[in-house]
This record gives sequence, structure tokens and C-alpha cells, in this order.
Amino acid sequence: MDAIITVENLQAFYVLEVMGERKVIKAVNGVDFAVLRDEVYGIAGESGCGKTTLLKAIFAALEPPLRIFEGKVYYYPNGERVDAFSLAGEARRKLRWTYISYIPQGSMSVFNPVKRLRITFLDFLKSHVGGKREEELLTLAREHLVRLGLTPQVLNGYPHQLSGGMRQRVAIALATLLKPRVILADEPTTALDVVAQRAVLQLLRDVQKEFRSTIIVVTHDMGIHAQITDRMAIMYAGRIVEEGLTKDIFARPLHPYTRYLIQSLPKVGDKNTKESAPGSPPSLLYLPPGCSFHPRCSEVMEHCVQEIPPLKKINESHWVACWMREG
Amino acid sequence: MTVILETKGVSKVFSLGSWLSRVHLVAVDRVSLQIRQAEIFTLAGESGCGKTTTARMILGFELPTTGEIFYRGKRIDEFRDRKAWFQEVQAVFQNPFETFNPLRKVESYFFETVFNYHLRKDVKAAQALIEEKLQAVGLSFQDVAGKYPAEFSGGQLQRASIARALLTNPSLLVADEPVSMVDASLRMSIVNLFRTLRDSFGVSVVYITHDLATAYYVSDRIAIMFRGNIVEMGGVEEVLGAPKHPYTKLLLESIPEPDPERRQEKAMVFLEEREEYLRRGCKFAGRCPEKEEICSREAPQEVMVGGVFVRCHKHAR
Amino acid sequence: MEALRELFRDYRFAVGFVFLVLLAALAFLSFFSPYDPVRWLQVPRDEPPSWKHILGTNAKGQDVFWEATFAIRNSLVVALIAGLVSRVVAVLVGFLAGYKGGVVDRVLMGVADGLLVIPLFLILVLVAMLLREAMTIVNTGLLLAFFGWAWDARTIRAQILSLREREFTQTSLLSGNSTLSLVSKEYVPFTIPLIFSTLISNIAWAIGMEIVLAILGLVRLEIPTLGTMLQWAITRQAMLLGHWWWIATPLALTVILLVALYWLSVSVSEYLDPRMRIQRIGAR
Repeated sequence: MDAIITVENLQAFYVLEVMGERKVIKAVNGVDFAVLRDEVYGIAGESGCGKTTLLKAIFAALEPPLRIFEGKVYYYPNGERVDAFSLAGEARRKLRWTYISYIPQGSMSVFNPVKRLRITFLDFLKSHVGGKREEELLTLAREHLVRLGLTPQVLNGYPHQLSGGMRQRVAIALATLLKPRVILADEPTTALDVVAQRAVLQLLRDVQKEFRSTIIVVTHDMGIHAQITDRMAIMYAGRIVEEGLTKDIFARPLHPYTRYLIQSLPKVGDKNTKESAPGSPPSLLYLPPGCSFHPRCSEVMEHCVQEIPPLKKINESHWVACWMREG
Repeated sequence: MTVILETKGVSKVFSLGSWLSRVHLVAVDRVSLQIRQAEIFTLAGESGCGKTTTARMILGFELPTTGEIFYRGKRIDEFRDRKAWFQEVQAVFQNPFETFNPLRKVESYFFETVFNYHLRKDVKAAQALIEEKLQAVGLSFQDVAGKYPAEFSGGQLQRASIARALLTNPSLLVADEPVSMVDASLRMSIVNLFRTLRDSFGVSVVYITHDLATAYYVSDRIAIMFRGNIVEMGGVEEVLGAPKHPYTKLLLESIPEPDPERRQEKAMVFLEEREEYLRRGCKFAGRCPEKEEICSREAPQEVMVGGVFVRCHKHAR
Repeated sequence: MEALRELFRDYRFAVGFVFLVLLAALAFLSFFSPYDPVRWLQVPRDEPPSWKHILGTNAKGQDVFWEATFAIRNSLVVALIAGLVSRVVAVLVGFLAGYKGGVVDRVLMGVADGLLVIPLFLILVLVAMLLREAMTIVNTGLLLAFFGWAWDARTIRAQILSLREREFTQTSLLSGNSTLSLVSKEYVPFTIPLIFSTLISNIAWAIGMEIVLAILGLVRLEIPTLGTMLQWAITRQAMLLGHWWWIATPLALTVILLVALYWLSVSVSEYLDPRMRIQRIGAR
């Protein structure tokens, strides 16, 4: 199978100086995985589990206080392996948006609020596609929108004139203008209502079909993962605790945390009481010893408090980090 | 069952645009509903359907353009003052980090509520009352004391927000999207709280959401709103179990079902809020799969079908 | 006290503060002056700095050092009156217009806009000319205050408008707070940095404006201020005659005062910025 992104033992921490005291927030704490060509890969986890940081690291958008302490991220443009962190200047600029693109959380920040969307699209194209007249670029943008089933009229308006769902879809259209091989989407459906969510999912599916791109979706909403991803990883406190085919994870969740996530989902037609995992996620500043989930786990054993469980292969595609599955 | 709150033909009209080209937008259009003692009533719909405006009118933060709202038979504008009214009705909001001023300690809202409503006389008794309410939502005073909102997790803060609302022993709690900003793993613990409030304390809850799955899980009755109108209203089993209005069906279909074997891949038309609001006839006609010729001409009237209120031409005959 | 200690870590605050304290001490010295600031020919004229008159004497026969202590005192008083009075007006108008909205808002903002569109400088000159004999320190301060509130009232109003839309406003009302305590508990912490920084820039503006009016000869020139000192020095050809001490003293004092005010304002508004405060709280 062809990998398109690989992440190896990635450790990305925020280093803060607060009142002369050094604090290290271990947002991504030893993460390994590979994303394959032409698949939709999901990363699930609650706020503060490090999933947004992971996306930033994959995009090689490293601004202080975020620092890479260890590990590598590799891209595979034209079949050759490229270290994402060693890319600089022109080489990085070239790969961004053509090989890999990023849709940040909250689509409002993508657009300049005082400019018509046409200008935003044109500026974007001008800086990446050389030697074309404005008219041609505009046609390019229009064709792209039509291809994704959006009306090209949105280009004439301002960002605030669009509804949240429409704005999110236009943001996705902008990020996919140059037909990137990999699209990173950070919480693309959060803060949208179910109908707008459905529109965004429909669009992501169309993008994937149309351009054969790989999509990495980060969201805490398990319903979205079930609807769109092929494979997924569950993150908890900076680590991946389970990875597998989406249908396997939903059918046979192995980690107690994953089980809580799936079993607590309400369904129409089911009034039985659902329980959330007890407690709250830990602060990334002060991680509990051993397995980070042990204070909330109903099946905690002595071993869990002492040692961090490694990610262990259960079968061909299913991995889990839990001492219950050891041996 | 006693009705505690009733709206009678409540409308809200907003004027948009500049002074020369003014457009009147009917954000809420003649909404009549009843909320009974100790029930959870859901107002559901997509964003821009008027559910939040309705809630703001019920709370008295917004005045209806026409129509009246009664609380236990008394018009709410006849309440002596804001305080007398908020003793009866309290609210919980969407974003717990915005519910409390980030520059103030969370506990100060608790003490202010206690002393402003003269619930207790001294700090010690106040603290005991606060402790009692925090216990009811699974927190303790220790968890809250001396902390600013930024020091909480979203789930904890939302519980604290509910605990504050309970201090005055209100009969009605209006919860506007209370779980949409809370993490998936903690969401049900908040939703379960509303059940407890209803069952153990006899509080009625107006639960506002776009998520029909939690709505089904938690509520007794439900009203589906679309562009200012209630299009379907009744018991939650009847409305969501056997939806009559095409919009209810669409909302139900759109729930991202947590089952990879059942994916919703049917393509759908999406329209922008404003054009639908200004539509003549049935506002849903633009994307209704069961649309008929009459739908774009005439607005449908409400009818009762088997105990369920429906606003659709298909059922009017 | 904790706040002060943190502020002093910023060198801009420390330097600005020390400068201001020194200037205030200078102003305070005026109460012990051996000379009457208004009388002429109390000392020999046009003497360069010496041990007896450390900053020399001027053409009017006054000791420049002691004259400067009065000047700085009077200039500070004018600026403080202008700054504080206009702050009170700006805060009241801004809060009222922002919170009440509707007719109140339109009327108040109409008045503010009226003040903003008339050519301020011409009006100041005109009023000062007409009232020249009445242009005492207090009246100069009040006149400047009258023209100094409108823009800041608008800024404060804008902030209140956005705060009013935030959910904690509703939580505060649901907690039974009255409008007054809502405003003072919820909004004031957010507006303090704005009020403070506009206060300082307003004070700086008033000092500059007083100098301009004085140089144009539109205030009572016998009262020593930074402006009138400069005015006398210029009309008596201090530059031409090489009496640098006479003109350099008010000039240096003005520059030091303005720089100190600027640094204080930058440093304090950074410290009070709500976003920074939230970060400090979150980082604990």
C-alpha cells in the first residue's frame, strides 16, 4: 500500500515561559501512523487531546511556542520521500497547497472580512499559479466551484454574507483549488447544525471522488467519523490509544475510552440511559503516571498506574494501547 | 398536566438593510406553544430557524413584535421587575466559556445570585446552598472556589452554569444548545442532568438544539422549527418515530449516524437562509422532495393529525 | 502591590514612573520657592547658569529654575483637569450610549459627532481669544476638557456595544444584578485599559495644546506654564541672544513629560489588556 504521509515517533510540545517558570505542554507525545493514498483518515479525541497540534505538525506549521522535540513527518510527492521539517523556503511553498493543504478550525479566519471572496480567491491563485491573466484565474476559480457543486455567485459576496455552513464549504473549495494530494481538515463540522454538517460531508466526499485526494479529518464527533472515514485513530492526552478500520472500531472497540465514546452516542429510537466517561480529560501539563486514561477507567489494574501501555497490534489493521489487551 | 408557560401567536420581525432598501424579516412567525410542568420540551431546527430568538423572547431578553407570553396565566411583562421574573425562569447557554466573564471568578456569580435574590443571609449559609446545588450537578464547592473560567474544562464549566441557574429553584430552565460546545465524552453527562432535574426536582426544561438524537433521548415533547414557523409539534415518539413533515424527515436523515454500515450518501439541495426567509408560500418548498404545485403559491395552514401539529399542504387535505 | 511589582519589571514603566515622580517632585518644590512667580526683576536679568541660579535667570529678572517649578505644576494641573474631566464625560456618555442604545445613543452620539466635525483648532483659538482674560489654569483645563471627550466616548461606546452582546451579560442579569452593578462588575474591567490609555494620551494632548495656545498668546501670559515660558523666551529673542537656558528648560521638561507619559501608557495598557490577563490567569 502506498503511504502519502507518515508520522514517526512525533513529539510536539508547547514550551511556555510563565513568570520565569518553564512549562512544557505535551500536546503530541510519541505518535506513529501512516496515511495511505486515496483514503479518508479520521482522528478522534476531545478538546485538549493534541489533535489540532498533530495536524499543525503534519502541515509543518511550527510557530513558537510549538516545538518538535523528536520524530519526523514524511511527505511522498512523486513517489520520493521528503522530510517535512527540513523543507525550507521555496521547496515548502511549492508543496503547500499543491501537495498538502490545511483547513483550519473556524472558517471565518480563512477569509479577509473586508474583501470580496473573489479577491481572496484571486490572491490565492496569483501567489501559486504564475503567468496567467486575471480573467483566466477567475474562470479557474469558477470552474472549481461548479465542479464541487457550489454556485460561483458566492465569489461576488463578502464572507459575512454567507451562512456558517456555506462559508465552511467555500473554505474547503479554496483549500482544494490546486488539487492537493492531501487535505487536512480540523473540526470541519463543529459549530454547524446537522443540515450544514451534511452539506460539508457531502462536499468532502465529492472532493475525494473528484480529485482522488487523501483527507485527514479531525473531529470529536464520532458520528462524522462513522459517516466519512475509512480508517481512524483515537487520541487521548497526546497519544494514539487505538487505530483501525472505522467499521472495526465501531463494531469492536477495544480501548475502554473508545467504548465510552461509542456507547454514549444517543440514537433516535433508543431512550436507554447512556453514561459518559466519568471525570474530565487530564491537563497536558500534568499527565497522570502510567496510562493517561487510568483515573477515568472502570477496568483499571495495578499495572496501568505504573507503565504506559504501548500501541499493540491485534490483527492486520487494528492496534490498541491498553494493558487489558496485553498477552 | 399544568401548563406553566404559554406563547400565543408570538412573532418577531427584524428590519435588515439600510434605511432606503429595508427588508422586513419575520424571524419568528406566530409561534404558539405550551410548556408543561416537569417536562423537557425541545425546540429543534437548523441555525437561523428562529429557535434562539424564541428562547430570548421567553426569557424576556427580547420583546415580541406581536403576540403574548404567559407564565402561569400571568403575562410576563406584568412581572414586577426583571428579578422577580428571573427567580422563576433561568437559562443556560451554548458556550460555557462565554457564560462567565473571563476576568471574574466563577464563584462570584454564585454568591451574587444568592444575595441578589435574598436566598440566604450570610456567607456561610450561602456557601452551603451553593454546595448543595453544585453537588446536584456532580461538582463541589472545592472545584469552583477561587477559580477563573479559563481554569475549567468545558464540561465542568457547563455543569457550574447549570448549578448557578438552579440556585433560585426556578420552575423553568431554558437551555440554548447546552451541549454543542461540550466534548463528546462528557456530553451525555450534561444531557442526563436535564433528566434528573425533571425527574427529581420537577423543573421544566426548554431544550434548544439541532441534534435530534439527543432531543429524542432527553425530551418529552418536541417542536420542529423552520424559518420562523413551527412545522411539526407533538410527543417526541410520535414526531421523531413517524415524522409527517418532509423537513422533519430531512433533519432526521441528516443526523450523522454513528454507524459506518449506514452512511447517508444521498445528495441533497442546500439553500441559503435569507432567500428561504423571503420566500412566498411554504418556505421549505425550495428543497422539499415532496413539493407540489400549491406549495410555492400558498403558505400551508396548521392541522392536527393524530395529536401532532403539522404545517404542510400534504396533510391539510 | 503584586500588580505594581509586575509592572516594575517592565523597564518602560519603571523609567516612565521615575520621570513622572521627579517631575511631580519638581512641581511640589514650587511651594517652597523663595520668589513670587509673577513679579519681575527679583534677580539680575539674563544670567547664565551658576551656583546661585542653577538654571540661570531670564530677561524678566526671574530665576529660571524656580519659574520652571511653577510652570510644570501649572501645566500638570491644566492637563489633569482636562484629562480627568473629559474622562468622566467620555465614560458616562460612552457607557450610557452603549448600554441604553436607541434614542439615548443617537442623541449622545449626535452631540459627539458634532464636536468631532467642527474644526477644533479654530474654535479653540476663537474661544480663547474671546475669553482671554478668563483663561486661568482651571478655565484652560475645562476648555480643553470640553473638546477632548467626544472621540473617546465613541471608542468606549463601541466596546460596551460589543460587550453587551456577550453571553455573560445575560448571566449577570440572570444572577439578579442591577444595571449599575452589571456595568461596574462586568464591563469596567474590560474598559479600564481603554480609559487609562485614553486618559494618558489625553493628558499629553492637553499639555501640547496648552503650549500651542500659549505660544499664540491666547492664555494669561503672566501665569507661568510650560507654554507661557516658551512664549516669553521666544518673544524676548532668547534664541537670538544665546540665552539657551531659558528656552531649553521648558523644552526639555516638555519632552521628558511626554516621553514618560507615553511609556507609562504603553506599559500599563499592555498589562491591563484583558487578553493578556486571561493568559496570565490560564497559565497558573
